Amino acid sequence: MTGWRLTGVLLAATLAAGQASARPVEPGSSDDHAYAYDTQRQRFMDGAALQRRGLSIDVPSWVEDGAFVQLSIELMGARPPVEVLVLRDGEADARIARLRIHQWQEPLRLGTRVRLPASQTLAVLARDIDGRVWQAEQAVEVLGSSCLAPLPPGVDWGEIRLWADVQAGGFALRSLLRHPMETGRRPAAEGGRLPRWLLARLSIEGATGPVLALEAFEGLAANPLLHLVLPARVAPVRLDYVDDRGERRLAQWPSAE
Amino acid sequence: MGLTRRTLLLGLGVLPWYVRGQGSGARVVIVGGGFAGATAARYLRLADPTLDVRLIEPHLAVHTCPFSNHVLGGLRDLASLRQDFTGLTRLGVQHVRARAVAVDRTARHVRLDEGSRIGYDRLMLAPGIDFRWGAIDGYGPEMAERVPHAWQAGPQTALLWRQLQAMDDGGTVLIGVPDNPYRCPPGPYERASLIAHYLTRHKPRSKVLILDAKDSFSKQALFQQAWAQRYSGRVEWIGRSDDGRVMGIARNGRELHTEFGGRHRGAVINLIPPQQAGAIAVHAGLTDDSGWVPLEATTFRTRADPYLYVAGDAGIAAPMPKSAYCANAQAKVAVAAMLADLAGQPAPEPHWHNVCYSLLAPERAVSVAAGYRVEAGRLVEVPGTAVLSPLDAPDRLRIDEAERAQAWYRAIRADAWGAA
Repeated sequence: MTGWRLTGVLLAATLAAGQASARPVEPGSSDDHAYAYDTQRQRFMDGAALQRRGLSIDVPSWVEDGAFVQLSIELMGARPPVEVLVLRDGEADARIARLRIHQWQEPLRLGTRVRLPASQTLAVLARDIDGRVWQAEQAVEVLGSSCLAPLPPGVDWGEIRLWADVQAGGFALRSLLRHPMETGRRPAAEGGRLPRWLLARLSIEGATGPVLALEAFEGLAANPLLHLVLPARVAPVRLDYVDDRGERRLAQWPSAE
Repeated sequence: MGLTRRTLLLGLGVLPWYVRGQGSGARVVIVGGGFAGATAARYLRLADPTLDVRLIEPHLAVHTCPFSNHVLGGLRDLASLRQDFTGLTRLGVQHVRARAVAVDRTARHVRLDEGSRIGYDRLMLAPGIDFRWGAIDGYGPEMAERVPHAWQAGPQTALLWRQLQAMDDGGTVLIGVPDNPYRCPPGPYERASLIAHYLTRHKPRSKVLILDAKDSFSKQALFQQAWAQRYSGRVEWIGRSDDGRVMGIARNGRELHTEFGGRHRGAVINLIPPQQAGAIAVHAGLTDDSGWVPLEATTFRTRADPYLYVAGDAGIAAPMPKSAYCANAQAKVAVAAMLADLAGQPAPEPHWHNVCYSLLAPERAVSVAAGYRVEAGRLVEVPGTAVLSPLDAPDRLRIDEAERAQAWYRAIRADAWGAA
């Protein structure tokens, strides 16, 4: 395996106050409808007809731990930029992540981990610059067990793990940010709930311009993970994570060290 | 909670045919002599002595995975885990010493490695786990002869124990742990605890480093508290978010490579690879994309074949964990359903219970327990039944749990294989 490694936080800075902060959505609230699966899907589709082929997703049909469900996406034949919306149909807030991808090595290959509190359908929608729309979905059965432990509360965030496998003409980038992605719904040991604390967005800039912008919602799993295959010309790439408390982390591949 | 005589009788309680004595004389073949297979063989003969029950198992005896970590802590001999089949043969079970290599589901026979075939009216596969060789770059069966997984008890356990004993003081023991699902979710962490106990006594400058593909693990708070209190930093856990997922093994089996470029050298490496159902279940076309066998929840009959049942680690029984306790309980439910089917009756409503004990140190244990039932055709955990040992418990509670673990182990062996 050939690659470069970056560990550690390259920069930690607090952004100015006023970062956009997603609010928790309670079932039955006025936001419930706006963030519901059907609403989100219809808005994204905007009346477009679905392409018959080109988009596929790889996700297990059943999992023991719904807190970390691996999702891989492959899209062939799209023209940049592509908008991707990842949804789940069993939660009040259906949103998992919304992405805008400007550069990739064909076919577009993207991976992450999502959070499914219960059995439901996972859906991925994509739309390219020509207005073509794709959709793929898969039911996932969550067979959770009390034998498994949830992520402990109070995990500090901040460390970015970054690695790339060099392939023919490109590189497979993978990044993991340690972050609790607290939804504001988990009970706290001392009563009440653990405060909501989510990643807000991730952007990747390359030598050839913007690569990806990701908007994260509470359906994205803790310790957000991203896989993306990019052409060699895009390197070096710079990752910029910002959370809903206004904190920011940066990393670069290859490392400038 | 231990497995008491009353609990065992409850197992028989789901077998109404035991008292009726159907006398079907049916041929039932069981593949695999572990907890699930042995339990099924024994309960079938107890329920109906006219049944022709054949247990296909190539070995004269097996070693139990439960308590095999005790060997690695220097607390038990491997021989104490050895379990033969005399208790079953005395009951009329025919032990066929061969390896089952294929199932012809149309002709309803099992083909053995020496070429012969055994026909069946009903078949139960209890093959346990196999490994996904190739999932970790460079790790295959040959490498496992030098870098043990020790996730099937027996020679692998002995190999790892020899390596631990031979290791110089000051060395690091690496334990690579896979993502879910795998056999015995808390097992790697019990192993780390007991190896740390051994190191504390015999190699005090050594440590254990766990490289984990998961972000959290079973009984995490209990284990981590015990490591801090009992082993003073001798056990370190690196989860996936800190680059704990093992991707490959290199340098002739002396170095583990992780997802984000980490390199870890170990004086002893115990690499537990990702797993799937035992090979015969895969070859019989029973597994889904996950590599495990989908089952009907009420009967543990396979969804692919009404004459074929699976119990134990090979099946998809989540939320039940892949534990010996569950294998034993599933086998009883499958036997009850199989006997009902042979008698043309509906399967009885099943219920299950599981307890997983883990030793933190000699005579100190913790446990997690839960009950399960079927709702709308799905296995579910019964709300309110999950019980986890408390943190910050008095030492007496840990001692009591260790005593219950010992009692459970004796009882479940007797329940599965009968008195030797």
